[in-house]
Formats: sequence, structure tokens, C-alpha cells
Amino acid sequence: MIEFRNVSKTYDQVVAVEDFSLSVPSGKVTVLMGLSGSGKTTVMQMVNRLVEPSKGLVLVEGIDISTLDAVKLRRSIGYVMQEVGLLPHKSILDNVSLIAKISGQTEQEAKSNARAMLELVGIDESFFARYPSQLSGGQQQRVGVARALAINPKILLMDEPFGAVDPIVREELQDELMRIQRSLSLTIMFVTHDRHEALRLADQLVLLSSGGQIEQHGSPQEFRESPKNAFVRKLLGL
Amino acid sequence: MEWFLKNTDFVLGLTLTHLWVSLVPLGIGSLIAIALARFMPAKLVSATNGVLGALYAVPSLALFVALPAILGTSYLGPTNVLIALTLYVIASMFFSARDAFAQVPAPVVLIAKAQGLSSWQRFIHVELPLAIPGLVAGLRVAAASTVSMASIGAVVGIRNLGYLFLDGFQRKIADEIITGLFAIFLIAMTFDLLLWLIGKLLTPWSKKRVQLA
Repeated sequence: MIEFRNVSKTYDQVVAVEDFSLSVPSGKVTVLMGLSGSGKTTVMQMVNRLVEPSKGLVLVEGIDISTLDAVKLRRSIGYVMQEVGLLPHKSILDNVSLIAKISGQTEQEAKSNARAMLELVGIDESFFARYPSQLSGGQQQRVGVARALAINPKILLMDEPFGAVDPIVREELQDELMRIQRSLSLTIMFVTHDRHEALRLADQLVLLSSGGQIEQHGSPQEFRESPKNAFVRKLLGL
Repeated sequence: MEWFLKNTDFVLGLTLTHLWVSLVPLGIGSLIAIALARFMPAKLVSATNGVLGALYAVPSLALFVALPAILGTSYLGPTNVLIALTLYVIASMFFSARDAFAQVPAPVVLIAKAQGLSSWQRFIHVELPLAIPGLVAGLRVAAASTVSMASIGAVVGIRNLGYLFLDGFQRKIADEIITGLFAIFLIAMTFDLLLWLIGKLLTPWSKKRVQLA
């Protein structure tokens, strides 16, 4: 479980997130949805300390993460983002196995695990030796997911991961993500501004207005049955 | 040509001196420039820009002569020239190295951090390899100017290929001057070619990108 306790983030007196509290249950998909500037990415990046809260605590499995070593913490949490960010100078297989190798696994161990993860996300072996620029956008994002899974994380953070791929590929990727999430019982935090994606993937949907204010949270079912206000209805198209 | 054939050993000796007088500053200077460009705290960058820009404007002969007064080194001998050339390499490489690191795609650096690469690991595995095209471009410029500037060292007592200009001019031997010109040109071209080749070898992925497009 991930727990946010009254966290705030201020950049040079601009408030990005104010007094945000939320529990993210284990083994479920929690989707943060909001417009740009709602603080959704900021909130998520507090989990792997890419962002340090100005106030408040973030706990993972009951441990205050500010007491942990940031590098070690990040190696236990998968991260996927829209721009993918594959290393252009390394092959697909090297991209996926890099962190395991750096963390001390042998070349063989790291690569065999990377192969398994690439197969899990549907990347054919014939692509393993290629460079990222030789793959389509959808394939690159599959590799991005495989790379995040290669460290066997319990938690996966996803920042609009499928925002740059076309709608058909996006649905495929969503389906496969749900399949993988169930089979590995991952705890996923997923940031999006796409209402269909949000309603489709979420076990828990959290709708944010500016400054990380929670307008409503609950299951997609609850949102459909009783949207709390006009803003929620508008954002979800209900 | 006749002059050259009679003096091949002499020219070869001068060439070897010229090579090391160029290579040492290039090696040390570029390492310092890369370190400064990457690890300089943001607050000090504009001050460094100013200092290095001003330094680059100082004529090389003036710097060769001024250094002993500043550093207390001997007026003659290679130390001043090596230090001066190193300073020029730093001044010219610093700017291109900063550009090279600035062009590393931000998402790639962010994801490397998010994956748990430490700051040093990000430098080694991500930033440095991706900065190579820019670094090599900067190094090629620095190499050409260092090889040509090194010849001025002959004036303050370094017997490198520059000596052929001094001696040829004083004794009015045109062949000697032409030999010096040609040899320096050859060294500069060789350096440039080698650096270009190293750049190609270290960035095999960029070729594949072109093929795909």
C-alpha cells in the first residue's frame, strides 16, 4: 500500500499540490485523472522521490520513504512515461537489462530476465538486437513497460504511458497491461487525462482539480452512478 | 622537396615533438573541459563563460610569454606552452561540451533517474555516450587549432615543426617553410580523420537511424 499523508509541494511559492491525502491499495490500479496543472504527475513522482514533498509524508508498506535511500527505492519501483526514454545508443535487450546489471546481476541473469519480460509484453525476439529508433512508437512503449517490469517491482508508476500511440494500439496496450497487472498482482498508479482510459483501467479512480484537490474518488462504477458535481461530470463526459 | 629529402630525420624529430606538444594539451584540456561543462554548478556558469571567453581572446604568443611571470615557471622549455595550449583547449571545448550535454534528451535522463541510476551512473551510461557527437565535433575544432597554435611554441624554444618556419624564414629557405606547412597540415588532417572515425565508432546507433528513415 502507498499512503499519502497531507503532502504539499510548492515551487518558488507556486503551489503545485496542497494537503493531498490518499491510500493506494496494493494489487489494484489507481488512476489519477485531471487537467494539466492538476498536480497529478507531481503526486505520482513523490512515490519514487523524483519529487520531494515540501510538507507531509509518503509511506510505502508503512515505511516513510524519506528515510530510505532514493536510488535503492527507485530500483524497487517501475516507472513508465509517455516519452518512453529508451537509451538510443543501446539495443532493446540492453535497455531492458541495464538496471539489473548495474544492480549486480550477472549479464546472463539480467538478459534472460529481460528476454522473459520482453516476451511478456509481446516483443518478438527478432527485435532484441535492434536500436530503439528502429521500432514503432507502440513497440517502444512495450519495451518501456518491459524495462519497468525487469526489476520485478511490486509498484508500477505510469505517467500517461499510452498518450503518444494511436487509439487502436492504445487499446491493445491497455488490455495487455491489465493482463500483466493481474498475473503479477501489481500495484499501479496511472496518470492520464483520457477519460476512456481512466474508466477502463481504474479499480480506484481519483479525480483531481487544480493543486491536487481531490474532487472525487471511488470505483468507476461509483463515478457513473453518482458523479459528485458538474466538474466531475464534465471531465468524465457523464 | 630536395631540402626535405636531405633532412628527413630532422623533420621526423620535429614532427614527433609537435605531436606530443599537441596531444598532451588536447587530452588533458578536453577532460577538464568536459568535467567543467558537466559538473560546474549553474551559478558559476556565466562567470566561467566570461573567463574562458576572455582567455580565448588573448594572443597565444602573449600567453606563452606571460605564463612564466604568473606561474613562476621558466621562460624557455615546454611547460608554459603545454599549459597555455591546455587553457586554449579548455576555452574552446567548454562551450561545445556544454551544448553537447544540453542536447541529451531530457526524458532519457529523467527515466534513468527514475530507474535508480545514481548521478555518476547517469553520467557514464547515459549522458556521456549521448553527448559524444557534440563532444567529438568540439574536439575536432580544438585539435585543428591546437596543432596550428603549437607551432608558435617554436618562438619560445620548443623545437617542433614551427621551428621550420623560423629557420626557413631567417635563412630564406622556401622549401623548409613549405615542408613545415605541409607537415602541420598533415598532422591536423590526420587528427581530424581519426576523431571523425572515433566518433563514428562510438555512435553506431546513429547510422542505423538514418538507414531506417
